[in-house]
Amino acid sequence: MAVTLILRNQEYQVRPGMTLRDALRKLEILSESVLATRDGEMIVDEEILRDGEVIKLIAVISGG
Amino acid sequence: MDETTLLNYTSHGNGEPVVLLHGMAASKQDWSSLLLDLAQAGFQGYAPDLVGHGDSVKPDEPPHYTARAVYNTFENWLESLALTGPLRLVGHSLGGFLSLLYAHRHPQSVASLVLIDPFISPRQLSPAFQLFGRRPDLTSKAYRHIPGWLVHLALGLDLSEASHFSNQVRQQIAKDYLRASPNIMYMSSSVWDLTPILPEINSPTLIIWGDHDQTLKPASFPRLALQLPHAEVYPVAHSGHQPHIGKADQVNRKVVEFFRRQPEYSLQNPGIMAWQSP
Repeated sequence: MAVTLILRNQEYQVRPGMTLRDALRKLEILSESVLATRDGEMIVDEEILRDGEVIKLIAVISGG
Repeated sequence: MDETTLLNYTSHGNGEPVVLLHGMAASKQDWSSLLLDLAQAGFQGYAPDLVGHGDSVKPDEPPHYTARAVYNTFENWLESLALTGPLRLVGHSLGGFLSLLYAHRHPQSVASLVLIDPFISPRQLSPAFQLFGRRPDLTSKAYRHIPGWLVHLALGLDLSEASHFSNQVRQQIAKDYLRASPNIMYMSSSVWDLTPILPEINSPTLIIWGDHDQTLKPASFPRLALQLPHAEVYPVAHSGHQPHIGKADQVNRKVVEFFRRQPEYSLQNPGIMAWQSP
């Protein structure tokens, strides 16, 4: 089983039970470069990802 | 009304057009620093005073102030400018609502959008503002009797913004508030939910918001980003409903960078690298 993370229509799978921070690190996505949402609500980096859920990531403008 | 002459506006710079729309009870003065930065980056900014605001016409009849009527006047004014080239829109709060509507109605002409604490649905409003929206007849009467010193004081008491507003800026905000027609309160009672049209707006969009917005719920902005097909976001820390005023340098930089990254800018300005979505 897995957790699905979606960023700009691209899907990534990670194992459930890890934190959002660890999942992003594993996918080599900078935590500062995205906002993570579950059912439309923002979640924090310490959130534990649950089996079967879909986390949508929103790109945060960077630079400057 | 003859919209081509009744909307007062300012234009600055020389280049591709950017239209900037202020929020309720504000004016084109909101954009004074962004207009300069856009001009320096090679754009031409156009900032109108919406109906009932600033130096624009202030009809006495409430029907001129419904959201639909305000939009129609803005659309007619914009069409009358006959701008050429890809159009970019920047909208704050109510101006964001109008920008989204325009982008939906004119998908071929809007190249990109910047929405700053945009209004998209009455559900975003805090309970107090929802109450105001239900009784525009009463709130417009109350509006007529608010003294300038009280508006100035209230702005000073907004702890999320106060430290970022100079005395001059507070005076300008209070002045814009007081010179707006009380009938603008009819706008808040006639706005509608834009959620159903959001997935159909394909223009690249940058959503900026203050994380301490007391007027519109900050949690609504990530939800908006999820519903727009091509959105990215920039939350501004320790800012309220007007980050483009309180943190103008920071916000202006992001707006200019965003417009410069869009493919149409690169096509018009050879030598600038095109932005590619990964």
